[in-house]
Amino acid sequence: MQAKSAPSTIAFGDWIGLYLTGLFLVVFLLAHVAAVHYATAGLEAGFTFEAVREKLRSPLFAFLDLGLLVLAIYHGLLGFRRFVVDLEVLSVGAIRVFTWVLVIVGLGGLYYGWIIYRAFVG
Amino acid sequence: MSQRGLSFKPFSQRLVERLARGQRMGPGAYMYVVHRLTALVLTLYLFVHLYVLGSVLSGPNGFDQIMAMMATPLFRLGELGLVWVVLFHTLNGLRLAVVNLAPEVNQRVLAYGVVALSFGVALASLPLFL
Repeated sequence: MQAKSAPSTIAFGDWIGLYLTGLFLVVFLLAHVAAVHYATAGLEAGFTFEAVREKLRSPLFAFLDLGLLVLAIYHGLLGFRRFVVDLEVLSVGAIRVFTWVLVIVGLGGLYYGWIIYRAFVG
Repeated sequence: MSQRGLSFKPFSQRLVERLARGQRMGPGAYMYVVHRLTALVLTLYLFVHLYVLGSVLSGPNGFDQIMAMMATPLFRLGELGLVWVVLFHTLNGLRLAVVNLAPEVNQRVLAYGVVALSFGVALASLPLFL
């Protein structure tokens, strides 16, 4: 039974990846929250298409929001992979397939985020 | 040979084994469970957030209508909950980094500090959501 499961090892790379992206995520997330707050401050209509468009036309905010998207997707899916692998219910082959599924989901999320960004600024 | 000293099992597996033996969970174990749950919530939220923002693909009016709906008290309350989830996950992630780098620190105090700070800051941000 045990031989069917992947060997349980502490994946050092996973931790480094999670910690580093986690630290950057905190910075980008704070910037995102501040940007959303100030972009809608004083607007009666609140959070509107025009307010988001104005914000995203700034290269700095575009960098912060797209950077946040990349970091959040990478950190989230890497953490989810670790969560599932830690359960030790998948074989080595299944983990490989699962990892590729997550890569495709991540790339799909990034592409969808890019389309949304273009819809705002285009 | 005892496997205890050589065991390199993931925390989740050791936790399940402890629970199966009827042993109580310590603060670190509770923090671990909540950290994983908040991670799942945040990952799910990320994709829901993208889906909601995708309403812009149907035009500015579609986006504005969805955003107007998000301004209702129920969604504002949900946002406040999200603030706590983000705070807890962030602070506990920092706690894990500290524990890994300096295992001699008082882990119980750190764990309680994370809980208190996350609830404290979330409650302090309450006026922003009213």
